[in-house]
Amino acid sequence: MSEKLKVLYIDDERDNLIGFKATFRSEYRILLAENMVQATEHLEMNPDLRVIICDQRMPGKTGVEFFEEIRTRFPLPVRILITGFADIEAVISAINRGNIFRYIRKPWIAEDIISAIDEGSKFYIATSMLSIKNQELQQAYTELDKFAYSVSHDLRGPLTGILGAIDIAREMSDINEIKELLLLVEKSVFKLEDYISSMHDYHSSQRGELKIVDIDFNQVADELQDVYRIYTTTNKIRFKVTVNQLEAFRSDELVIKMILNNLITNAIKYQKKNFQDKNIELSIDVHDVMAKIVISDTGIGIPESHFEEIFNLFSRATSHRAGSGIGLYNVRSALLKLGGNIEVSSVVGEGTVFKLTIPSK
Amino acid sequence: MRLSFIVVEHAEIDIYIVTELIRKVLKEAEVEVFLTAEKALDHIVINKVAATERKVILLDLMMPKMDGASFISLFEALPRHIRANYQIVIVTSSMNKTELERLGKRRDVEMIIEKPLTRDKFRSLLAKINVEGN
Repeated sequence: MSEKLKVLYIDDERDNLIGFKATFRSEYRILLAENMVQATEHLEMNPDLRVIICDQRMPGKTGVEFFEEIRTRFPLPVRILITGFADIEAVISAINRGNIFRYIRKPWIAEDIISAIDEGSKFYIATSMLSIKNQELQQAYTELDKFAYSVSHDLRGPLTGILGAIDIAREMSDINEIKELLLLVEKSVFKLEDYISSMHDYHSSQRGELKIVDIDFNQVADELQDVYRIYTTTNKIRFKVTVNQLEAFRSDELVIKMILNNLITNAIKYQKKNFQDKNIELSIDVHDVMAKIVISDTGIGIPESHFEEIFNLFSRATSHRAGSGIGLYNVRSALLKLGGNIEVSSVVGEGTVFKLTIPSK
Repeated sequence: MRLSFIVVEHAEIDIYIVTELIRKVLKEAEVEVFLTAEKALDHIVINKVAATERKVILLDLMMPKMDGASFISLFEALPRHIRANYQIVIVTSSMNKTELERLGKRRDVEMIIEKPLTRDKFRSLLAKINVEGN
């Protein structure tokens, strides 16, 4: 069962406090306060507090005044006032100013309180969902802005390059010159293709449902070695894979492969040019329902100041290689979805190590 | 008057196209290529240019690290005797019309060419800066 919802009750009479807690303790988690200082302490300590019920007649400050005061600091909890008939004017104006959600007349009966708390809790959920959705929407807008930039840079850029190349090719008669140009055209096409497949990964890591299956990392490793053999051989990179899996591991296989593919492609792409001893090592250890994956390379490395930034959308640590700045962002979002995490350590000029932990589902 | 080009561009294919066009259309002109705006700026600050020389900067806008717009701002801050020999021509695939309009009005920006850079567009650039091509 989910946890009981937290209700704060404020009254200066001890008997009322005890009576209130005795009546509702089985339904809710009741917090009590004799005065505003105690009440504020509870609010500070319990950010998940949903409903505040306060007596209007309090020494020093009335319930309405207290609610008005805490409203900006603690906007989320729903405020309910308990009051006698005599204070009705103050209550009406408080409702109209939006300071209280409901009022309950004294002497109260349990049904009124329960109904007010339940309604208040629903209101609380709706409001907090709205603020979460708003944040998500803001994030989506920011990503959309970056996407607009990326469309002209990463999609239109290579395309206009290809168009320009076609234009000058029309005046070329030397077949070798044309072949040289075709090589560059091909590179631009690969860039576009890379971009499109990372956009696809982006979409599925954001929206896709997980498909949890048993994963045999030995098999995954064999597949990866087959796929990358051609790249590692032509680039003279030693690619070593070790797998240590004696227990079952459950997760989404496509997502895990997408993560590994991105990290291995990066390790290949960001090797040092003209370096003799190029290495990539991938080790996968499954132990205590947790997969620990380490990918290390002897590449150009990443400056420490970029460690956080590289996981952001459309961010790139280096200027001299191709890359759209989506890959590592996808890796991190996918890991978040699987409940895992990623750490990076790197020395510029020596290489980079990515350490991943992924729990079995 | 001698004419030479400074190409500030990081995409391999675009560098090839622009140098090829200059070579084919102009024969005589000199070309220097810089992969980043920082390096181009350093070069401009350090290198003395004879008064008889004219230099055209072909500037890409969307570049990692320093972009074209920042390059223009830093260039504008250089002393007048350095700036005097240069003209900036923006060559871009950007679709941001407002930004392009704004940049087009900057003092040292001669014109904006939208990519793809073709022979025709290159010839119209030469016409604009009063150079005759082949």
